[in-house]
Amino acid sequence: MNHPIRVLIAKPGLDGHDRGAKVIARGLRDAGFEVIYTGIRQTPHMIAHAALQEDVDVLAISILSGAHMTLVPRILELVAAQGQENLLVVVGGIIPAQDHQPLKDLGVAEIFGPGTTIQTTADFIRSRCTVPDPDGNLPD
Amino acid sequence: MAISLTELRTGNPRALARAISQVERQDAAAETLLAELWPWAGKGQIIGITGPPGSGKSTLLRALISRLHTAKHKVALLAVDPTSPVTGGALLGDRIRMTGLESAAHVYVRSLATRGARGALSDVTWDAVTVLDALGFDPVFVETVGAGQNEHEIRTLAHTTVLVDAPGQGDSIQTLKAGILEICDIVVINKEDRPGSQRAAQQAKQMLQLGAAPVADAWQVPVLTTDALSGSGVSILWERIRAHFTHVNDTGQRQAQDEARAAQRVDRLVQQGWAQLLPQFITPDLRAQALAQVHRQQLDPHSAARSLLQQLPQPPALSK
Repeated sequence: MNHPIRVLIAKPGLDGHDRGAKVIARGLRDAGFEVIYTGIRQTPHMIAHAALQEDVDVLAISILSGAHMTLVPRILELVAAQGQENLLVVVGGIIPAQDHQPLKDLGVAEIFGPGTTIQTTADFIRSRCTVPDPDGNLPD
Repeated sequence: MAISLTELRTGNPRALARAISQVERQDAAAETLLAELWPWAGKGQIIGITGPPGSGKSTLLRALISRLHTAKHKVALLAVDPTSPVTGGALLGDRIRMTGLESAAHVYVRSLATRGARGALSDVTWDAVTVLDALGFDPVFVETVGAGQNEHEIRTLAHTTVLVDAPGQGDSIQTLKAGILEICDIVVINKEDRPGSQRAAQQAKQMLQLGAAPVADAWQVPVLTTDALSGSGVSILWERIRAHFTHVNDTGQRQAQDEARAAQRVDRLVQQGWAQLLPQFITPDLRAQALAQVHRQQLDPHSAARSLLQQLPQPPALSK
């Protein structure tokens, strides 16, 4: 049996604009994912904690505030420290082009800017996140 | 990487989350894990929280859990939300109410999707409860999808079932319908600050009194009002939840509940195993032929089913 991919959609920091996050949540739900949305104004600690307890396959961070170079590295540090080094992390929102490579160097798998279709995002996640083997491991 | 039982028993949070994922997959490794944990289960109180969408189940649970956390309980919550029958996807939204519990080391919250189960619980909820109970979580809360009717399953799973309702959800006839008030041990009218809450509580009390005359030692279903946001009434609710557990323990109902829960799980697994064997007897071809006849109205559904059932191995003749 094919098991749904679990995705946590997280909105870190002082940014209350979550229409984008909700569109992605709804879109990924309709694409057959199990989506957990934890709401606005989450701290990196809250996000890492939810990713740990929910044992998600994907962490999708939505950020429009400009604080991504502070918040995203902190979240990546925390998830790695709790043993989720292989968690697929994607970022969406307003991320200037010059910050893309630095974020990818830190471990972000992909960055989705304005205009990205749900299909593109869903296809990317599926391509990187297949069904776990019998021991529960996802391919790196 | 297999999940280490030692890590699980010492409270490793990553091991716990992976164990729940393992039982969600319902594979051979999950069976091994559950077999190892089963002897340790059966200690904690399992509490079902049910009620219509928007009545405040998640918010009330957050209020309860934050109180229990400060009282050093090891608390777990399984929050079940529906899977789309069309796409197989789900939006699990209960966790959004759990803000502020992150630093509570003894609190575990997990969102589960129903994944094709017909009721308000996923099949794996039963096994996830076993894992948490075996690891010493007490209580284990189970929040059902917000359906409100036809939720008998939660009554079998839980020792104590709490119905959470809110004012403005319909007139007194709604509370008369079968399957709502009769499955719960405690009724909560949440949002007590809203107009109509006292009236809703009064109606629930009246409906409960219209039932059969209480027998001696029977549990009297209390009707409480709460305001989950301010925390009003939450301490009393917790007292009544624990009082009910004491009641089922003292009256011997606990054993019957535990037996019924185990029976339900075994029966369901046998049915699932049987459903997988079925195509060996009723082959897809035979099924398609019968369905075509039904479609052409040469055969009615009952007769078609009966003729397909003839394909099953027949029991030895009873008469000799």
